Amino acid sequence: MKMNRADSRRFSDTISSAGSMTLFLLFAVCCLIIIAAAASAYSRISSNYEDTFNSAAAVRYVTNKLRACQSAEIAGENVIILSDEGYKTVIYEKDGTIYERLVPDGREVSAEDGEAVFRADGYTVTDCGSGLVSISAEGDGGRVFTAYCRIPEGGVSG
Amino acid sequence: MNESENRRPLGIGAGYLSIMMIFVVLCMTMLAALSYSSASAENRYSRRSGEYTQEYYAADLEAKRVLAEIDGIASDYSDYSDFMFLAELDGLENVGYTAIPGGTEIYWQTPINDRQSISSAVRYSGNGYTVTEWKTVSAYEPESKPLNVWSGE
Amino acid sequence: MKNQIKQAGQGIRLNLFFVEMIIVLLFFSIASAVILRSFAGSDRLARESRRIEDMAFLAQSAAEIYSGTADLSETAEMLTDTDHICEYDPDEHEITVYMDNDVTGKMVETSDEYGGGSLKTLHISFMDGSGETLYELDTGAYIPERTVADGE
Repeated sequence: MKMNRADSRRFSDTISSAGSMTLFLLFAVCCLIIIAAAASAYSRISSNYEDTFNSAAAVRYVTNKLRACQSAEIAGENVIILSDEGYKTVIYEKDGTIYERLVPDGREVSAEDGEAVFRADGYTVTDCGSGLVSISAEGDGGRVFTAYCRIPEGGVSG
Repeated sequence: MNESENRRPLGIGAGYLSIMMIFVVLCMTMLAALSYSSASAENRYSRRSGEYTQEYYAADLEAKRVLAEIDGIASDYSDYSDFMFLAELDGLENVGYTAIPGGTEIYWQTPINDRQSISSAVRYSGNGYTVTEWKTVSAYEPESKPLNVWSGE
Repeated sequence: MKNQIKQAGQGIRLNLFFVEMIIVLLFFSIASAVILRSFAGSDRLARESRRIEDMAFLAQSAAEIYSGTADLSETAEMLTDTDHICEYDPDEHEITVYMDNDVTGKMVETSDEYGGGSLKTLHISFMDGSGETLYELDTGAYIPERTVADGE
């Protein structure tokens, strides 16, 4: 009888311990799931942030440069040459990075040795005719930012 | 029997749960703070960019309205150096002009915001006008005083 | 006697675990509620930024195309080329653009006559499902009556 009581106590202890262990494991798993969900939300928001401050900002930067120059021309694939008094600015793309280079008038203009200004994948400059150019860049999440801009040609008649 | 009773009981010791909770809550708080700061910086930038786009096109439209007014005046004249034409231009606010051979160059600035404005210029000669400038410029005047730097002498 | 104390100790240890579990769960649920609210706020801000950006880029594209062409049908055509769903109504001089996130863009053209030509104005506005205006801008194009260029 005494043995039976001890056995049943041991059995109930084992059950309680197993129950507490299961609860602990359940809590640990829930914690992991919650941390994973939080990390995924953070990575999504961070990717949006990267897109905004790289690809979207790059498109805005180039359109603002186009608006602020005297005249502009597309010289080759994804290369824009902006002309102002006394100097030219070359904006070009190489390996997913946008570079900018200032060249004084009279020097040879080439799309090399520029300073990296933005990282933007899939950066394209397309001449759409009618004095319009389309500038687009792709974000990390596959989001594409496209903006049209007029090319100042230094003389529109009316 | 004694041996079985001396066995260490199964189960989780006190404190482990609390430590785990503190770690998880700290992790989540850090991620939440980073997310919020990123999202709010992005939101501020997007709003500011959106507002700038609105300001730019409002100024662009205003500059075109000035052009329409100038062209409205010019349509009554065939000689763009005519004294009366220039006198009418004087009536327009913030519009300046310069006489050029065979016509007049007219220029004006339209503020985009307190830092930038659109600088426009049109040249009237022959039978119509040519836009010679339509670009954003900084609203600040460049300092005429040169920077005090070593010039190599 | 010794055994009884040991058994009582085991019971206390188990009870302590459950008491701790309850307290931890209580604190954890309160902390999680606050943190989840913060995540939801961040997510809402990020979605709002994305929406503002999409609207600003589309408005800029439409404004630039219209400024260059002064033609509503060409504007609609070029916007359709950039994967936007556009409807052009020539009678109402209006373009409707359907965007993601339940946002609809409306572009309405008006014209003012000046002595030397006409100033066409395009009012671009974006509304959500409830009809609230989210973003708007005005652009224009001046069309002179004289079409003769002076050859410069």
